[in-house]
Amino acid sequence: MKVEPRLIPLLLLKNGSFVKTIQFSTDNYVGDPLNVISIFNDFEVDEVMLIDLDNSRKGKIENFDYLERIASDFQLPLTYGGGINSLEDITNVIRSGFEKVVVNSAIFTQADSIKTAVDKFGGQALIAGLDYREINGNIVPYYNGGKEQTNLSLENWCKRIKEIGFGEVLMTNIDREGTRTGLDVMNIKKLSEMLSLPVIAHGGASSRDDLVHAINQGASAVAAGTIFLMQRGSESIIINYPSREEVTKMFPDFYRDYEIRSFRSQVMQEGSTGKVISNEVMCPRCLITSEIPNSKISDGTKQCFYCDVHDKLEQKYPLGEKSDLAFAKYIAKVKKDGVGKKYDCILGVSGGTDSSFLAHVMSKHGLRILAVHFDNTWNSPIATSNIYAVLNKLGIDLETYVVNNEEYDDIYRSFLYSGVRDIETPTDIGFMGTLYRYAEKYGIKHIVEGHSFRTEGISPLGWLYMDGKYIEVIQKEFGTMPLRSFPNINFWEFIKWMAFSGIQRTRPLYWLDYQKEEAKVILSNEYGWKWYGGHHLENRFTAFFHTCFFPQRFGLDFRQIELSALVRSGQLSKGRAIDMFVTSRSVDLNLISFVRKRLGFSQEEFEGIMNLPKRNFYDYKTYKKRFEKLKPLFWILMKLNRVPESFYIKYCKRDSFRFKTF
Amino acid sequence: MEKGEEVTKEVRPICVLDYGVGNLGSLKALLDRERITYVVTSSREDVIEAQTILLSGVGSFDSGMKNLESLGLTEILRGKVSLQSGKLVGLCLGMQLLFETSEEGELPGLGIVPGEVKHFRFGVSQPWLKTPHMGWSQIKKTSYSSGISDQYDKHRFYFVHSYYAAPSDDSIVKYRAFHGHEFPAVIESGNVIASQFHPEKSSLQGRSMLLEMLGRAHEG
Repeated sequence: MKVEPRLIPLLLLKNGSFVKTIQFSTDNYVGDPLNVISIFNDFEVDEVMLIDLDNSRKGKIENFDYLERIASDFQLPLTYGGGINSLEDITNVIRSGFEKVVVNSAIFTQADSIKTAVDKFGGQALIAGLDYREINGNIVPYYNGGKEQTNLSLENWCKRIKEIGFGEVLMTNIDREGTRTGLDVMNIKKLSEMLSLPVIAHGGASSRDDLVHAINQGASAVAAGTIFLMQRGSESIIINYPSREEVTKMFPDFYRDYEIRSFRSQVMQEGSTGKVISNEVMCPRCLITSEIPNSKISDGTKQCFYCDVHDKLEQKYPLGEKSDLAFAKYIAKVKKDGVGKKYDCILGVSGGTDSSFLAHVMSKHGLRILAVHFDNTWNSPIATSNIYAVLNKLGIDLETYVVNNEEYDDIYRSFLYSGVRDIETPTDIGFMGTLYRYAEKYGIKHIVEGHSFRTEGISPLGWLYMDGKYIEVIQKEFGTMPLRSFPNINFWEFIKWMAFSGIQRTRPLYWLDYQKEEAKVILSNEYGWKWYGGHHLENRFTAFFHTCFFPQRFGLDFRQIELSALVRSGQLSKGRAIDMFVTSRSVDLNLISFVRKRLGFSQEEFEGIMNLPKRNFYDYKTYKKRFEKLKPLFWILMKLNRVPESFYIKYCKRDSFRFKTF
Repeated sequence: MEKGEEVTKEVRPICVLDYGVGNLGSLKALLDRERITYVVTSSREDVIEAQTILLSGVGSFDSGMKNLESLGLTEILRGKVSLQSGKLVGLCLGMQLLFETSEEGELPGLGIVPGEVKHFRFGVSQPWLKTPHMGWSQIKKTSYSSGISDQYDKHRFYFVHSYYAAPSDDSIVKYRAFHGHEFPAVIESGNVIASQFHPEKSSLQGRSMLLEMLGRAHEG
């Protein structure tokens, strides 16, 4: 067997964020380095290359601490490039935890230092960066970040590389970088034949097929940014990497008789923070207990308030003919409203079961969907793979809004400091704000939501509160920076989008016999979609919220709500649901440590935050008072189907939240 | 067992040799993540005391030997192995240094394991075979019995090297890899165990193998 080809995500670091450039100039923000790196780590990619553009521009390295932080969490080979000018730089980079260093300008200016580094660390630790343009059919090496032309011919360049003792060459066609115009296969072939060193091809990969061409032309590896970071066509951010199975199919020559063995059995580990259902009285039908606000369970003979709500919804959306008809009417309306536009409807995607299944269903009904993803830079690898897999196969365009990672982490810290439980409010509001902004941009009149009362249940009144003011106020009081990239929803935007924009939010799953377990099977068979071990766990921070923060700090657990819903809709027996609930929920200790480290808390600080005095949303200024004053308006909007009934009940009725819950 | 015996049986630490070559960052990160106690050291006292010595490193054969020599560690390492006092784990260059000689350098190696270290040489008829051998390769279990479990058979590990070990005694080879021809990927001889690949850069399977090598097999 030949040496396995390496497929290498190449990431560009700028101002503490990853960006994507086109032809070395335009920047496009990609996301939080620690999260992106850890996603690639979990994908078990062959290697990762990280190029620091600031250091490259300045010609020196000033952020070793930061580089060390990135490298320490990465369990795969890692290469650094950018601003390498001396033996000291190389030594420090390798000390920070990188295996290899890309040298470019210093080949011309500091050959002796590089030679010493080869003696010290071995040639395998040094990669010669060949940034080139093709001029009159010749490869012309450039340096200084692709800005200056050298006077060396390719032959002399290769000679110098061999003399110095480099272990590898990274060739980048400057004119193709980030453009998706295809890799420069002619020159890849030429250079691979000229050199006995491994050649890493880079610049212009437009598809996974391109990677295959480059390898077949003799490259030992291909590095690419764009295709591992974006959806083709829409060019929206979605991190992806071929699975081992896909790689063996891409390179059949290399992997004949190759047996795929996966070491990764499950993502989550069993933990020990499970909670037994309380000693309070339980609803005779579901798992709701009397301490849950507004459950209206007195002696356990009558079903709870949430079962009543469920039954009302069942009456309104009875499965069968009536719902089929309503669904068909809805599809027809969405199509009609989409005439003359690029898309019929918007679907918010998270990589989870509900939104993935809805993409599947709506697409089968011939709707032209624009998928929108609010990337809060805390995605899990499974989330991004799932989004990529489902949308790619269905040919659905994606728009990703990536919030600034430092700003977002600051908002999270603010919410943690504030003592409230609604720490996921920014994600919910940001998601909504993103959907409406894209709906407005594309003139789309329909937003479809993956919510189903049959699987997700009804969130108890008083468990969570969210609005735009709440975020603004908490960030102002506890944050260290203003809200800039966060797509918040202020009061007037809220009223505009709800009442006057004509944008209709709909939950089509209400009309469908949506069986969660069946949906998972369909998704995994048709799209290679993967289950991530629990509802809401597709995002790392959301997973932290549901498995650690909410249960441990507030003694509340959303599984009680979800399992109750599945019991009510007959998808699960009550006995089995109770078993599942009292069995401890998976807590991934690595996840908690990831969250803590990324937010920059020491162990002590983190424990302090988990034990802060508890506050409630009404300890802070929100829009709640205004919503209450405008109760009649929202009553009308509710009757017009503009706002959900649950919104009216929770947000407009006075004191609806003042339940004692802890 | 008497209670008093336990006190004398304290676990002496894992000692990661810092002899000035290569990259200990990823190795330390892995040990930290696994909450394994270790010391990074170049002190002779620490090495003498250590129960397990981790000899990692990349770089040239001679610079490795020269540094070990100047720290006064070569004799101690040889002595510990011959007295069977503690375990020696070699990674990458650390594996090659265990042998008697290398085509890469002039200096003699530690000579703890009989055999030599050779350079990959490929003819022009195989232009796709590049040196260094860099990247992921499957390893295959040999038929020789081993303290290392056989669960790594046909799994991928990360290699970076231009030289490979050729032991005199074939039966110490527990796993092989292939680059133009077969070469030893994991060797085990008495209290010495070593790998040519980088377990600390080989993701989950690498982590698992390294823990086994250190006698801290991950349970479950």
